[in-house]
Amino acid sequence: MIQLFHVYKYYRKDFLALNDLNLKIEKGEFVFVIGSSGAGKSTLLKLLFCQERADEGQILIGGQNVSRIQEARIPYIRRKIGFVFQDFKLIQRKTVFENVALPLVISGISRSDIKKRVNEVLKMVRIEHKHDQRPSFLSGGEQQRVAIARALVNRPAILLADEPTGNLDDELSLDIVELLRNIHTTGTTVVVATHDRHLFSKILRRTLVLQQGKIVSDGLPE
Amino acid sequence: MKQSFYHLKSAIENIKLNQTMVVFSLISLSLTLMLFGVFLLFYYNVTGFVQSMRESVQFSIYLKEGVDAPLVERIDQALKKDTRISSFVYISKDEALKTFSRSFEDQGLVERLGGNPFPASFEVKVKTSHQDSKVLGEIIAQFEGFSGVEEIQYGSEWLKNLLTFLKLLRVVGVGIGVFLAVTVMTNIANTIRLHFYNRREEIEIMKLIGATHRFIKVPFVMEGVLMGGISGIFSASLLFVVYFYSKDGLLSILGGIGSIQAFQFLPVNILVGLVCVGSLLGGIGSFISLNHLLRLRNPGHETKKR
Repeated sequence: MIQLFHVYKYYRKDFLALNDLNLKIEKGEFVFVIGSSGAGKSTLLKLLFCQERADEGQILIGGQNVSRIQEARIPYIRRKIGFVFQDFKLIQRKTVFENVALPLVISGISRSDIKKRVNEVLKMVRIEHKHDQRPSFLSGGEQQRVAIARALVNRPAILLADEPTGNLDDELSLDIVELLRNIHTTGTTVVVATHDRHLFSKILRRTLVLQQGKIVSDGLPE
Repeated sequence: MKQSFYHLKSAIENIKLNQTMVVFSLISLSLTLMLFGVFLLFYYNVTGFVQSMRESVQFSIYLKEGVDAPLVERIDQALKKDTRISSFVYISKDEALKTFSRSFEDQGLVERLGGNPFPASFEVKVKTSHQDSKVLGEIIAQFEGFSGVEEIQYGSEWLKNLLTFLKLLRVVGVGIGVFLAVTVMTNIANTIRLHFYNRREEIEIMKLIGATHRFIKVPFVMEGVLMGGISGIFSASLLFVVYFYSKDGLLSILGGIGSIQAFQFLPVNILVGLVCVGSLLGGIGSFISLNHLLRLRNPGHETKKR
C-alpha cells in the first residue's frame, strides 16, 4: 500500500529531516510512527500526503509514484487519503455537518449522497447530535472526532494521523485511539505519528521508531 | 454542476463576510462604470447625430447647358454601375424649375427670371461605408471627367471634419474604455485579494482535503462577477438619474448645433452590455488576482530544494 525507497528530505542545506528512509506498509496495517520532536514523524506523513515533496527517492502509494506526481494531480491523491491533524484544521464558520461534508462537495458527490454519508460517519464517531454546531462550541475531543469524521467521509484506503491526541487530555486521547482502532477494523490502513507513549502502549501494533530522520526500530514494541 | 450551488453560496457568504469592504468597492466600481456610461451616452448621441447627417450626405452633378440625351444616359449608366453609390436621381431643367417654383409662393419671381436658368443635375447619395473624404474625392474626380459636367458640389470640408471628429471620438472612447476597464479590474482584484487573505486559513484547509485550484477559485470569480454585475446595474441606474435631471439643460446647449432634436438615453441592449462588461471585468480581475495568489501559495513552492 505504501512504499518508500531511499527517501531524503532536507529543510535547509544542513538539516536532514529524513535520511535514506526505506519503508513498506501493507494494506490494512496499523502502524505507529514514534520519535522525539524533530525526528521526522510529521515530515514522513507530509510526504505521504503530498504536502511536501521528497528531495530524493521514490514514494509509492497504491502503486502510484507520488514523488514524481504533477502539482495538478495532488488534490486527487489527497482525496484518497484521510488526514487527521493535531490542530484539527476545522473551518470555524462552518457547522460540523458542513465541515465533514466538504471533502464530498469537493469530489462532486450529489447532495443526497452527501447527507447520507455525512450522517453515517458522524454516527460512527458519535458526534451526530452536534451536527449543526460550529467547532468553537465543541470540546477538543469532539473537534478531533469531527476531524476524523471528515478524514473518513471519502472512504479512504489510508488514514494518516499526525499527533491526533497532541491537544487532548488522557481520557479523550484513549477515546480517539479507540476510534482509530475501530476504523482499522474496517480494513483501512492507519498510520499514526505520535510521541505519546500512552497511545501506542494501549494498542500493540507495529511501531516505527524514528531518530534524526532514520528508522532505528521497526516492529512490535517491547 | 453539482458544485454550482456550493460555489454560489460561498460567493454570497464571502460578500456577507466582508460587507463594509464590499460596499466601498461597489461605490467605487459603480462610479467608474458610470463614467464609462457617461462617455457611452455622449458617443451614442453624437453617433446618432452623425449617422443622420451621413444619410443626407449627397453631391450634385450639375450639367452644362444644352447637354444631349446620350450624354445624360452615359452618366446615368456610370452611376448605376458604381457600387459605392447608394442612390441617385436625375433632375431635368424643367423639374428643377418646378421644384424652385413650388418653394416660392411668389410666382411673379419665377416669371421675372425670364426663361429657365436652372441646370439639369444628378443628386447622388453615397453609401455610408464609402463616406470618407478620400473615396468621395475619387468618385467626384471620376464624374468631373465626363464631358457635359459643369460642376460637382458637395460639402467636402464639413464631412471631412465630421468624420475626423467621429474617428477621434472612437480613439478617445477606446482609450477611456481601456483605462476604466483596467481601473475596474484592479479594484476588483484588490478586493478579492483582501477577501482571499481573510479566508487564507480556510483555503489552506480546503487544499489539504483535496480541493483543486479551480474549486477554490470559482467562488471568488463568482464574487467578482456578482460585484461587477451589481456595479453595472448601479451605474446604469445612476446614469439614468444623471441623464433625467440634465437632459433638458444639455439639449438647450446642444440645440444650437445642427439638427440635434433630442438627447436620448442609452438603449436597453447597451445598458445590458454595460452590466455584462462589469461582470466580465469583475470575473477577469478576480481570476488574474487568484492565479497570482494561488501561485504564491502553491505547496510545491514551499519545498526548499537542496
